[in-house]
Amino acid sequence: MDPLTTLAPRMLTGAMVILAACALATLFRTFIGPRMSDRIVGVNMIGTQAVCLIVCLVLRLREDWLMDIAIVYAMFSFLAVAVLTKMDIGVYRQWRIDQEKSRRRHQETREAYKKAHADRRHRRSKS
Amino acid sequence: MTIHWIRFILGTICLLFGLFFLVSAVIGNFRFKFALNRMHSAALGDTLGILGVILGICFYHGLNVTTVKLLIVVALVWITSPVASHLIMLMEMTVGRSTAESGGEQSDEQGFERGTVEMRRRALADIKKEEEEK
Repeated sequence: MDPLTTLAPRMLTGAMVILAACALATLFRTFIGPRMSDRIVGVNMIGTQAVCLIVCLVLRLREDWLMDIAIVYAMFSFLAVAVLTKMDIGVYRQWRIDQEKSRRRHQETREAYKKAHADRRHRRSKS
Repeated sequence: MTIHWIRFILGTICLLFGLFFLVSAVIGNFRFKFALNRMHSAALGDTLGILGVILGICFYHGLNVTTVKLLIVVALVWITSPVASHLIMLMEMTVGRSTAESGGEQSDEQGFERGTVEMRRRALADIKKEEEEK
């Protein structure tokens, strides 16, 4: 018997089941990850596991054109990680700018109230 | 037929090697606490895991155009994975809420932004505190 036609598809099916379980576990980890960077690490790992799954499907289904899909999927997974990180850095910078602005406005209000309070006390002590 | 058995055994060894690294990457992702530690296990799956799986598929498939494309996928992932790790590290260092002393908690400092009433109340409280200190 030829092992490449009888045993290899079973091996591939088992490998795909293990990969799917890994992807589900990583999805759960991505869901409960406390912060943005944990989630992006999880997305990166899910991309790798999906590429492995597609590559297993190439031989399991004997469809060679799925290979091109795996290449494109690897590229897009990297692009997704790059865009998500850049977006989060931009959001954080905007948050810092807003925080600095509001702190400065608080400082100005505080100075103005201090001045008004001092004037009132001065007038009161005069009269 | 013998060459088929050799190819099958070599491919199975490579496939199990890659699956071991992918599963250990998932276990590491669950057991590590911070994102900078998790990047380590994710990089393990990105390099050795995908190399093992794709080498196993290559042994199963034989020499073909598809095999060359499979190796192109390995090269692509090996080029892009360090760049992705670098970007995640850059984000982690810029956002900077992942250090051990903060414990992953986000500091709640944006209490300033609650309208002018809150600002007036805080300013008056500050002035009163300063006067009491005098």
